[in-house]
Amino acid sequence: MGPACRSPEGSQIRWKNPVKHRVPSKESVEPGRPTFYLPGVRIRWSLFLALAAIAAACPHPLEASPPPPVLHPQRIVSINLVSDIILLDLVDPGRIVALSWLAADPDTSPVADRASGFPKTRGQVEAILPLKPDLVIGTLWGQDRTLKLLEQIRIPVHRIELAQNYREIESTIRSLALAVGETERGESLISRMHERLAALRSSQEPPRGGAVWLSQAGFNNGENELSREILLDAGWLPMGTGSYSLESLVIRPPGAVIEARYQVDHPTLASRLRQHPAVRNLPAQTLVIRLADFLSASHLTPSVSEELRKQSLP
Amino acid sequence: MKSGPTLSPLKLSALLALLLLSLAVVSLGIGEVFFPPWQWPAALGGPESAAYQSILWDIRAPRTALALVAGAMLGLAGAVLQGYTRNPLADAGILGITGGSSLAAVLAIYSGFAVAWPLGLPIAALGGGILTTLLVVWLAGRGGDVQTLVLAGAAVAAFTAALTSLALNLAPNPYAGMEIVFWLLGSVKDTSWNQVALASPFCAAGFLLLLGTRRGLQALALGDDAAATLGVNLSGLRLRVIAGTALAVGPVCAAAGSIGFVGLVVPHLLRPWVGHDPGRLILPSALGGACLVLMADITSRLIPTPSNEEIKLGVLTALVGAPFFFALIFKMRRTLP
Repeated sequence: MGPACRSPEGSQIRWKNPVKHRVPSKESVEPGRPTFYLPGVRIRWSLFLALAAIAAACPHPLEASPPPPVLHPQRIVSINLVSDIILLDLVDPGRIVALSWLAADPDTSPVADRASGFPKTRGQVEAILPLKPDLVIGTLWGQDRTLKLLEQIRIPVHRIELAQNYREIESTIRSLALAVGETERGESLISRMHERLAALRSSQEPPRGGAVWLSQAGFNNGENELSREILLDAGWLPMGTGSYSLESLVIRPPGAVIEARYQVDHPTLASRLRQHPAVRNLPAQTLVIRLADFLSASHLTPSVSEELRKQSLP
Repeated sequence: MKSGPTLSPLKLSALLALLLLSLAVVSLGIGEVFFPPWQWPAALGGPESAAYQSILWDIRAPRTALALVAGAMLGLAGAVLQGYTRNPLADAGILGITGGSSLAAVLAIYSGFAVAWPLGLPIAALGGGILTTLLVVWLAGRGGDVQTLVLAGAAVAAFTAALTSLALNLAPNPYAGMEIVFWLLGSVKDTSWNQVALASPFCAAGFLLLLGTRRGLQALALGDDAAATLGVNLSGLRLRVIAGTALAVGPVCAAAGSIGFVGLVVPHLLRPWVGHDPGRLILPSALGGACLVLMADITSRLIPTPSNEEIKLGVLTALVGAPFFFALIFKMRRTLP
């Protein structure tokens, strides 16, 4: 523009103008600076504090290596139904401090009468601690957080696998027997289970035909390998894998429908399915077992096949 | 967009009815057992006719019928609710009506009420639907705007979902929990005629009530005052919409669980074809809803899964409906200033 711009000294008014311009802008920056900076500082402090907290917390899980196992535990707490069942046959009752609450429920447990005398736990850590256990038995499925917390409080724990077939039942029993220091009784449980299975399998009858399971989710060929083994030991043949549709039921009707009943008096949607004409007209025998006998894979599982064999018509 | 009607509602309805008919034939022909229509005469006359008859009549036909009724009711209710609230986001699911019906149905099943008295299930679902609709309308206020209504619906939907989860926690039978979850995903699998027969009378009443709102909705599109001067009884219309929606949606919920997004998607797809006239949208939406649910049900039977178990109908409609919802939001963002 004009020469005034090049030489600010030229006129006072023109010199003042840029200054006047600068002053308000300075004013707006300076009070702005601290408010801009302070939160930054605060953030850094809080970051630092958070990192410090994490660092302080970190050693705990690292430190908490599992407590040394007790060789012959005398105060055993089981918080899982499968271990309840096996434990009752594995150790003397005096060594069991508590069983899971499901163990005494006849709807879920095959050993309800024997388990009824023991204190029950629902598996909360605060309820387990006063029992002063020297071994807590649970499973990875849904109980792992409880077991980890117990380990941090330096209580020995044992995790059992939920078996999907007889081979896995065997290893579950074996590892549990080792954990409670009863390997011999464990082996005898296993051999008794095999004797019952051998008696079932020695039967010379030809297979009776196909069978499907009826569960809450509808007709299916069993949840796992164990449900297939149970059928075969009972003299029935599995008809495939996965769910078994109503159409398959009509076109390839099974010889038997196996129902694991649970709380028959409580209505469920499965009762709706039983009313379906394609199911009502099905020319198959219905074999009913207690869900309690089938629910937990243990050394008692051969009883399901024995019961099915007893009910099957020739 | 605001063009005149591209098709007369009658023509559009005829086309949709034709599509529906062909989908119904496909639905009757598809299943675990390969049994297409051209084999029907031979199979039904053959030695195994009883089995094939059972597959066709006892298994596939009621399933097709329920999918059809459910879709029609959901599409219809969606069109009426969108017309009545003058909001493209209205839908029986979003306004909490499906949630209320499902909750009531769950309670009826697990209290044994539904087993003791078969009519109890659709009636409970109907009652749940009416109660939640009244609650939503009351929450939104008499002169409440549409946003408040949708917000009230979302709140009620969340509340009923929480209560359903509570029922799940408290179910006397732990296995019931799994059942409720699967049932809530919506399915017409293993339906019997019994369930279709239980739902149909209520649905028919709801259909007639909602169909009767046609003129009212057209007038309402001009605004409340204009509608009132045109002689529309606004409180009567409100009552009709509430009762009609509950009658249409409740029994569907009782029979097939909750199938979402149908009422949202279908009116949107069809609106441009009827010139954005809420009254003309009603019948095509019912037919379109039936087509959509039938298509979803056919798809659910065709997708292979590891467990051999069908994908749930409500999952499929949500998989289609939710992205549609996103698209709708983007569209609304563009048109807003």
